[in-house]
Amino acid sequence: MTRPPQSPFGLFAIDHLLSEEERAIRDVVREFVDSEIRPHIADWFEEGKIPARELAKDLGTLGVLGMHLEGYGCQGTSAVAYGLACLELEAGDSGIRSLVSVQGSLAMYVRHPRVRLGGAEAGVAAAHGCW
Amino acid sequence: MAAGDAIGCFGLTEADFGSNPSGMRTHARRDGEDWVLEGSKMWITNGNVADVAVVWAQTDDRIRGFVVPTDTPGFQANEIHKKMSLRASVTSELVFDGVRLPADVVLPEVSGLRGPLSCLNEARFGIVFGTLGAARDCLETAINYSIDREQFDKPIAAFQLTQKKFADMALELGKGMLLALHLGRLKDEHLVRPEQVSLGKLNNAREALAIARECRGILGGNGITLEYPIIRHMNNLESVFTYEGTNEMHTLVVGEALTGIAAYR
Repeated sequence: MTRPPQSPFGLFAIDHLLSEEERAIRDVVREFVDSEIRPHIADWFEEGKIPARELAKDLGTLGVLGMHLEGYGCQGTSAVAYGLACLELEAGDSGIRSLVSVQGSLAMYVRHPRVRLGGAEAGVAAAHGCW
Repeated sequence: MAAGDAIGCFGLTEADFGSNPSGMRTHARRDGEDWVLEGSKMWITNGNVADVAVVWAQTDDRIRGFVVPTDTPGFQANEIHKKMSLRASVTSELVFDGVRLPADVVLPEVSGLRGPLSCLNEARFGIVFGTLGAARDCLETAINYSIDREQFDKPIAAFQLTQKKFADMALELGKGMLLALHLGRLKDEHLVRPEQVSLGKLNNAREALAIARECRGILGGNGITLEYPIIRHMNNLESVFTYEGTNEMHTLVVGEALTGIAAYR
């Protein structure tokens, strides 16, 4: 070997296509996966069990649940930033990314006042917390 | 829900209605002001840990969405065991046996499949990116392994056969990322169309699975253990290849876009 290896995304200069904010969000999610998911994921997978409640709270604190939605405690990030968060979570495990997808893109998306679907039912929304 | 204090799930798929949700048998009927929900849903992520379920059901007025607290009498979630994929995820069957719901839990202003399909389009967008994460983890793991692993007195990374695999996989990973970012920029401008998200899901789930399988081989025997992430990603991606629209359905969506003819109707 005569030169240090480049990462696959480094070879494509993908970072050049991302804003500073998008890179920062990506890095925070990657660090979360490295510290909170990677040390445990092989055991969770083998046992077929995850601490879903605690994980949901940790992912909420991280800010990735409904992160591309606005209002009701959601952050309103760009779609690209949400995509990058999904990428980093699934680099940990598809199951962890699935938890976040179902929460943020399916369940919360339906009831969110910002989107037409569900029709801005703020009253009903308040009754269910972030709904 | 943004704080993660409450967990949600989404019930569209049924045991007999996967790609064709319009045939669903779960139904809701009016009883005075209330709704009464009967039926079942299958392959529901988060089902056993959810506080609330968004359930799609037939009504006299087409398919409607219902927000169902999971502690409502008649609601039951049964966890699906013996999975060899997505083992770090809760997957369930939901059963509704005369689940009585007040009038205000029905999602207003949307009937038919437009409602659930617009949600799925959101989730698929996340998968366009997500699959690349699993693939990147596999490829980086395999590259690092191949630099350390020696056979015939040199790293297996020094063999042309290995380098060709890496070059081909990096090309697919990078192209998939360029596609994902393009779709993301379109989405941020509110310009992305469902058939374009299908392009991304079709390509990236397919290529991520192919990358995982190729990387599994590069690790040899070590590729089959959970000491390395590859076979876990590989098995997970079998589910991702199927859920949120199968490979076949996204192919037909793209085919319909190109020809104007829906082959699945």
